[in-house]
Amino acid sequence: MVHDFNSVNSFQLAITSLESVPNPRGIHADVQVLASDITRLSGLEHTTFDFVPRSQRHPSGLGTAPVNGAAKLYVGLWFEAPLDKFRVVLRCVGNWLDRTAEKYSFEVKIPSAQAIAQQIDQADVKNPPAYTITLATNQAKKLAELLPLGEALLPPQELYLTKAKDYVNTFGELTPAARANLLLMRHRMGLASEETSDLNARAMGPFKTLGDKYQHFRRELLVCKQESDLDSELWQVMQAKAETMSLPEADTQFLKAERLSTLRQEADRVRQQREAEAEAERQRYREQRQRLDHYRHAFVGLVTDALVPLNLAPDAAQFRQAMMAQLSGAEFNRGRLIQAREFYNLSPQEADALEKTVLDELYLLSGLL
Amino acid sequence: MAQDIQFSIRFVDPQYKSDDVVTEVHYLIEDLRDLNGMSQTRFEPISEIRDVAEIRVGVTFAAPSDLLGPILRRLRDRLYYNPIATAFCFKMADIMLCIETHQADDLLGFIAAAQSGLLFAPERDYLAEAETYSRTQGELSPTELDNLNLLRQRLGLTAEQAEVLNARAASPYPTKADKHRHFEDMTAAEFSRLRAMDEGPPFASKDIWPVLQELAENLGLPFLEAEAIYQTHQQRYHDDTKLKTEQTTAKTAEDGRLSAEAKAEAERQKQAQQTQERLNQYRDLCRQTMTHAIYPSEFDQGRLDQARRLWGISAEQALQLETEVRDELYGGVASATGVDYNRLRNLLHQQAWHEADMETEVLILNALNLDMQPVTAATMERLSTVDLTTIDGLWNRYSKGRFGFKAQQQVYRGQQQIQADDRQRWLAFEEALGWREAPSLFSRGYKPYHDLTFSLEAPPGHLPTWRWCCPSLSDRYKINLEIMAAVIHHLNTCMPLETVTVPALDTAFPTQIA
Repeated sequence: MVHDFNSVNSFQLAITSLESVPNPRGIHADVQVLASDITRLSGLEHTTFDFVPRSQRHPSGLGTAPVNGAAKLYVGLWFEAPLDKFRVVLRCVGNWLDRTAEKYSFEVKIPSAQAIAQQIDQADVKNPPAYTITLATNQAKKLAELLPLGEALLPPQELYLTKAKDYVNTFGELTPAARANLLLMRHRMGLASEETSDLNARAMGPFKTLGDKYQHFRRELLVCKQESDLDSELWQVMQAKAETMSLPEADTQFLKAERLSTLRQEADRVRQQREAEAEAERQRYREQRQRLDHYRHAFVGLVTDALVPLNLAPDAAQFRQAMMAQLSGAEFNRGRLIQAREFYNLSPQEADALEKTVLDELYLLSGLL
Repeated sequence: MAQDIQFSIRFVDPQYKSDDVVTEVHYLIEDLRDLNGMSQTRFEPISEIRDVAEIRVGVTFAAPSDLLGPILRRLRDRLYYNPIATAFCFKMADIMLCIETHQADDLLGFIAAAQSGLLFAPERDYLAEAETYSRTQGELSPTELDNLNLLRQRLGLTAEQAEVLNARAASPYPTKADKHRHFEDMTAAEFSRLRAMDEGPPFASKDIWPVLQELAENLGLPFLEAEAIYQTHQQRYHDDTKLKTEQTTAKTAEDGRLSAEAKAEAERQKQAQQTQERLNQYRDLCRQTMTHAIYPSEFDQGRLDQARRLWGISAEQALQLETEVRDELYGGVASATGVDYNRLRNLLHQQAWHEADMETEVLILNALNLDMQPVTAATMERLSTVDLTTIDGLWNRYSKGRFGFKAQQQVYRGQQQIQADDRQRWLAFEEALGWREAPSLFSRGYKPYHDLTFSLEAPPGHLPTWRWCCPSLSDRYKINLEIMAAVIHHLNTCMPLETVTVPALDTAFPTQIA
């Protein structure tokens, strides 16, 4: 079974039963258990397995013809995993082999160091030059011999840098646990402390911490002055900047949402301010109307208080004149009138107009009476 | 201890001509045989059918492991000068390693592996054993170390070599306790990082378990153990976060409550201030309208009435304010007995001294409820301090300190310092007040009431007269000395002068002066 690589930073492992004594169900169960064990490892939860059906096995390896229903039974599996998981996977397989004690053929395919170092084009990823290591054993100790060989074939710097970049792309920085993992990798790969410091710095990019990246990107985002900027070409530029500074996509989106929220709040605030200004203007108008109404009311009260029987005037003008004379005649009423005008701060024109209206209405009423 | 490696090298470039392939195989054998220790090596050809003819496309041979390095380098050099697609296979004991490439650098990985010294016994066998022990138990137990020591001796490895291989198998944290501690430290550090991030501006939240799980796997720490450590720290972190959130929520609620209270208080104060401002405005208007007259003109009353309506001031409040302002401008008219001193104030304001003096008599008798009966030494004591102070205040204010009870007390004090004899002192007091002239052969000096001086030219303390003590004014304005002493005593009691020594009323005094 030939499989293409999904990534040049991964290895492939094919495991096939070599037992000549037929125990198809036992082997099938073992294979399923191994697949389950592998998916319990961190970062391998979504591993895709190709299972080798019993019927597909080469006749020479099995020695017996498929029986009814045998096609549904598996005798092996194949999967691909990241290169940095090489040791963990082989240890897991070693544990499994300890339990099964059946003989299996193990085939490990590792891209050549050159292919990994050059990170060859995507087009060539599927079939890069690769080392194939094969071993047939039922002993975990024998399988363990694959470990130093496989690890020796890996390019230490490239692998370390890839792993550090993975952490930075996930967390935006090298967290304590990430650094601890990298330290173990450094130890396994035999890298010097100075080398890994340089590689860490390369992985981190120009900023030392995630906080610095956030601070810088937040500042950069200030150029987005309105919501539409975050959907336009400008956002693509911002994304490119985020990528350059090794800010993870999740963080970029988080900061985008934060900026979006701020812009919406600002827009809301501006809208509310405008509404408040409009409301203040309306209030001023209402107060002006209220002032006039109150004066009108006060004037009506004053006229009512001062009202004495009056001969019907021939016209409104004379009625007004008579009423005003009556009002001004009594010092007390005159004082009230002056005080009311002062209180409402009315211009003489405003006061005259209002008083005229009130007195005209009163004239009409006097006519009706 | 060199072991044999089976080599298989086959040219697989389909574009390469058969003759050229045969030539390449020939040169390959020659190149390899040229290496030190390879001259006696037996090379077996690999043949295949091409264009009906069988041709040599490669070669197999066996060589000791110590020649692996030179052979690989030679093969790399050949590929470097002639990059022809070639399939290389190396069989080391049970392990087969193959690669098909035309690039010389693709062999570098295997060259490095060969140089590591870990591919062959005894290092390979020892490391595999140590790795197996480390994998299964998480550490090298004393028994396992004993076993490894025996293996080391059997394989002929030095103690130092074994130590290096042990460290490689067991990682920098060789014991389970070390691994546990390291994992615990790293987990704590991860949560510390989260706590630090929580302190500042917000960050996108990320799951830290996968990287910690990876660490546990790399360390060889059992999953359940690692998970338990992680969950303990996670629980602690969640508890802290929850507590902080609760505190923040409580603080926000408390701030909100305080803010609402402060707002309500501010509103209340604003309303109180507004009310006070209106009262002050009304008070100012009162002051403005009463500056020139005790009672505002009708026009000003109209203004006050309208202002009171507009500012929402009750009639009672307005009246009180007007009274306060009037008292402030024209003197208070307080009375303990409900006597109305307004007329007295009006008369004094008009400088109508004579009428004011008569009004004073009426008011004092009213205050003592005497119904025109003269005040006696006994009834005098009933005259309240409030009323005395009001009468004195009004006389004092409108005479600019010339008249009033205090002025009379001052005169008496002056006489006290001069006259030791009581009778002479009282007579001198009356003379000083201008109520009596110096006695002559024809007169004892007492004046008729209408001859007293009802103007500001009168001597200090001349007014108000004490006519309310006199049973009759038909003859002369003459006051009984006993009553005079009682009045002064009562005045000194109710309105003591500063640093004045008031003579104690001698109960025997009236008898003496009689």
